[in-house]
Amino acid sequence: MALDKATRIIDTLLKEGKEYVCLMHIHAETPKDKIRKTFKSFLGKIEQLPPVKSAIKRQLRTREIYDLKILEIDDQDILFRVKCQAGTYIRKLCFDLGLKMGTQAHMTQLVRITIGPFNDKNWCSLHDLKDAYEDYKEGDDSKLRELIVPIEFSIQSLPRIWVLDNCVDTLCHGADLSIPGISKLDNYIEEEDLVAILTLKNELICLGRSLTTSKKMYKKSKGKAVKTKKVFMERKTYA
Amino acid sequence: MATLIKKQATTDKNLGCNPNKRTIETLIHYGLVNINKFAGPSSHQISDYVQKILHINKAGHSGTLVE
Repeated sequence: MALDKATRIIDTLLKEGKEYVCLMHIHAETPKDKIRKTFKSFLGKIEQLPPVKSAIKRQLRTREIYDLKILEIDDQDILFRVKCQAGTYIRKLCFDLGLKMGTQAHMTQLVRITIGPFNDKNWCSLHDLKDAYEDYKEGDDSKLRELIVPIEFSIQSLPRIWVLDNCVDTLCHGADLSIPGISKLDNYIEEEDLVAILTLKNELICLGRSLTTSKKMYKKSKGKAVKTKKVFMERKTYA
Repeated sequence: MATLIKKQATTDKNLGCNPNKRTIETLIHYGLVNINKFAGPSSHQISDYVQKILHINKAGHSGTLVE
């Protein structure tokens, strides 16, 4: 959950890769090695037709399965873990896995365990949150500090550009980033990449689309580097 | 993967604040919390609960548990 002013990071998080644990049921007895072989064949790029009830246009599209691991096979129930591109329909994946095995199959349960850097190792319950908040009201904020992470935590996977103090405020006003404002940068930025622009204190200023590569940003002394898309830092923070 | 240093520079300690040193009040209004949403309440309901618990005006969710 993104809190208050961090709400606008949601759009970006939604496009991150996702990981699930899923339980599926196959309608006919199938030998274990056939199951394993079929699962293996679904690694990498697959084609999916979104279901009838879906928010997007119903046409065949490619999705990538980054990882597919069987955890347990119990008769005709298969428990597996899948890491995939955002927008992959797991229900459809189960159906297609069944088809490939020559039978019908359906998803019986699904748990999402990762969205970007958030996963089942760093989640908490509403009760945990409530207790932590009560402690904080009574003077102890340690538990709450463990549960709430700064907005910067959610953009860990994005390439970064750190800028000089003197151009922070113009960026907060929505201006694009010019090359002279750059202090340091990750070396793997391509054109059109979504990048995070940070202060030298590692605070998130804004997100933008790169207009050129890291190499060019490093070598050139002028020109535009990034088209600012979403500003997070409040104006006048670096006035 | 590496970081290229183009211009070595320092930052004014009186401006802004390192994310790890933010006050808890700031975190409550500018942070994220990973809630294990069990089946039952909708994401919207969870969002409402979180807002009530932390006394904030807005919260957004980025994922749901699908049955």
